Amino acid sequence: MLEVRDLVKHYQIGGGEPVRAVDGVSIKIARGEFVALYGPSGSGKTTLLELIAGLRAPDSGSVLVAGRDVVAMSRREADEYRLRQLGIIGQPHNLIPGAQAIQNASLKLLLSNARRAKTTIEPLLGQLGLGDRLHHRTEQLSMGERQRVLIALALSTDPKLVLADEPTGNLDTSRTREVLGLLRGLCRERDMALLLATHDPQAAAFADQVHELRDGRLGAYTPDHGAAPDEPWKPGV
Amino acid sequence: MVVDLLSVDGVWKGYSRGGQWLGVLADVSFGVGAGEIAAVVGSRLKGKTTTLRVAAGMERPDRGSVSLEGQKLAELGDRASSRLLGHEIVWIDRDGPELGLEVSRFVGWPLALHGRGRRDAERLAAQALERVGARDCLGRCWGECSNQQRVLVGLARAFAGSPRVVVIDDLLDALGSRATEEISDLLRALVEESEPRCGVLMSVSDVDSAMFADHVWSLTRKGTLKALAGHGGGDAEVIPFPKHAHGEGSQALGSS
Repeated sequence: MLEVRDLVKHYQIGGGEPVRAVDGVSIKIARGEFVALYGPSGSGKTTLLELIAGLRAPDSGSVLVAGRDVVAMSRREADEYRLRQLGIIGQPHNLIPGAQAIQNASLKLLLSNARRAKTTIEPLLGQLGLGDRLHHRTEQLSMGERQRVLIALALSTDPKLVLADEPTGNLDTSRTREVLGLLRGLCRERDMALLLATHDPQAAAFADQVHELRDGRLGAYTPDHGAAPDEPWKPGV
Repeated sequence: MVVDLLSVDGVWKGYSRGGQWLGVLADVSFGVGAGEIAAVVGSRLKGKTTTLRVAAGMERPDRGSVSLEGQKLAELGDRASSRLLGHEIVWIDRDGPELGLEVSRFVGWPLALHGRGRRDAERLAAQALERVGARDCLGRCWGECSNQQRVLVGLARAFAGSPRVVVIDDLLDALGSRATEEISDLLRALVEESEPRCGVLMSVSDVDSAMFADHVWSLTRKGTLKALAGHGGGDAEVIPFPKHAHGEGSQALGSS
């Protein structure tokens, strides 16, 4: 579903050495596969996700999604790609204050397919355990519930590639497990490719495969500090 | 005399944190009239955002009341509250939607939610973006916009649907002084063009960014934030400015 080939993105800041945010990264993710990109803050995870989303242009390399190169897309094509093929799961602050859960989750569909918004969003929120919270406003929802609304928003267009950038950064450990377990199940059920960027080894442990990103380069992941999802959770590990 | 559009009366608000009560607002009262811009100034953790959230109806006060054109927000049902929050009182801050969302969808979405057809919402969104000088954001997504463009897009979204009150939290703080000045002028123009005439309540962290407002309020404390625990003491100090008399305002604040 996703194939990233020799992707490079450097930034020149001031007169010093360029920052090698992404430095020759290649990665493949099949449909139904959950891959984690593990790395500390500043390792280039977010830049890599932004390149895959077509939000930034790389210096070189390609991003193939279902065989089409995102780098070569026109603005209109890239917008269509982001709207229909791609889901991005952000953080709870991306929800619109004052809006109901069902309204927030309809953000992508409402102006492109209002009829589908009506028939899709409610069952999707129900599937995510928010059937009795549809009309609750953002500020009436817990952080875990807000995160599930964002998942519903990302999945509302039935994307085959989903990017999640630190989606559990604001959640406590039990909510983190809940959300990641949910994502893992949805990945299988919907046959979608899921790429999770995280600095948390325990979040990365939910994935089928983990790649470690350091200074813009992919390296071998050392999983000794990540507990498997079915093992007891150890706060503070 | 300007009749208050938004009225906050005797509001107390606090939170329970780690088993302790943390008082944030103590007997706070103020009003924002149609055509007015009011600013709450203060550094982080002074209660600015709490003040705005309560005034916008996003949080209920522990005591006291908030009214929009005489209607107490607490007396509204869920449906009316939702309409009010999405349509009549519009909240904008530095956060936006997911990075990949195209900007005109973000601007047009509240219009579509409140009954506008898709084409109408798209047309109004494009007009609003044009009006705030963010025409070049059309076709871009949120993640491609600069900080200043995001502020403009936020203003376009807020003013596209004829709001009664626009509540702006910390939007100017990420900008340089020149951009702040430009945005301030734009905000003033948008308020003056609005029909019916709306009011603006905003929070800023430094006094300079608030100097263009008609009223500037500084949330004071008797001691630190912790000293307010148990609802003890503290209220809002109100510094009314003559309309557009920036020089006088500066002196008044300096001497306060």
